[in-house]
Amino acid sequence: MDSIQEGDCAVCMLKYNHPAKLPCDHIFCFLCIKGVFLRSHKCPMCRSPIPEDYLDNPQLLKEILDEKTETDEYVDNKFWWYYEGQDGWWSYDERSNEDIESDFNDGKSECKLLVAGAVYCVDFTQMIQYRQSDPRRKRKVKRDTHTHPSKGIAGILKVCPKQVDLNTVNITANILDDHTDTIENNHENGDDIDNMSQILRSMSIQEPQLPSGSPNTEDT
Amino acid sequence: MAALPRRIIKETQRLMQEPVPGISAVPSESNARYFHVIVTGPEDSPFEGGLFKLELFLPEDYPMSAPKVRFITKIYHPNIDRLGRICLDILKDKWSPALQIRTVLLSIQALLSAPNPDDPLANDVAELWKVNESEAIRNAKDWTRRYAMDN
Repeated sequence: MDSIQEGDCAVCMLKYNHPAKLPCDHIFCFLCIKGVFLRSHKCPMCRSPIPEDYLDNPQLLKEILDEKTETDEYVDNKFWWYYEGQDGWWSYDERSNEDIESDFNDGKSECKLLVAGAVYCVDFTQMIQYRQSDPRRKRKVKRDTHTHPSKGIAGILKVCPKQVDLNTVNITANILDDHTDTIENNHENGDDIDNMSQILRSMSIQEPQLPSGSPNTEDT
Repeated sequence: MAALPRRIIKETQRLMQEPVPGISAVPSESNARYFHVIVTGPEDSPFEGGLFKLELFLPEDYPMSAPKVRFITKIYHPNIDRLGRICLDILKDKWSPALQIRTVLLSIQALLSAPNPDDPLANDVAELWKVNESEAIRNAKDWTRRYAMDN
């Protein structure tokens, strides 16, 4: 009997991936909330409104730690997949990474992903990711070691564990510079990132691996 | 890889292993997003004894958008039009990604038990349902016998 367990996200019906709690106390994967938010702004369980700034200030139940080495599943996984953001690379979330790596190793030419309610295609020949419904929205992708520096996972900025109170559950996420960017938003991304960097600096959270002033080749 | 999201696989397995009484939903062999559905007419409704065929399709962005569901068997019901389209809020603006194939089909079955002529899709049917309910129910039973039995 394969019934849906209590510990599964009601949207993707899988084990919680970066669980986040809404003000109504219902818990979903961060990326599932993001997919919901972009359409309805209502909790899938009780239809309570989701605050406008929720994706910027999600209440995550677990921190994103500095490296993806905290759990066993990463240790065997030599490679990780990244997509390009404004001033650095984002790690794909664990689930997408698994799918991409598996299709890559199977010698396929592309991998399709359902992320936050939209279908994305990772093209291995050109090493780009694009949105299936709008192929103009593309980003570079790369496969690198799992310790390669990244801004965070799938739009959730990571924090450096040494400098952050581990009881803190509010983690800054960035909704514009991730999978769900829009063409209209692109010109705003720069400002947003600057603001975010300022916030990060003021919180004395550093990402020392990131070269400062790396070129922003944001595509349209 | 996301040819078929894991949620769809999971829902399908569960529909097979723990079917909802009075409802069967079987994915098409050629398209795992397309389901052949049979809903039995609820007891104590004019649709009792009928087997109603429907088709259900899971769009690419399911569960962010609702499944598309349509009656194939002709049915005399104020909220279902002659093309089989269904007027049900959870299939439209009240859809939530926490709903599932099984909850959608249960809601459709419940709609057969509780027609709502104040929110009609089939206007002539709804009108008769309001002004002469017993005749409307007779028609519904007649259509059930004619179209939803023995085939």
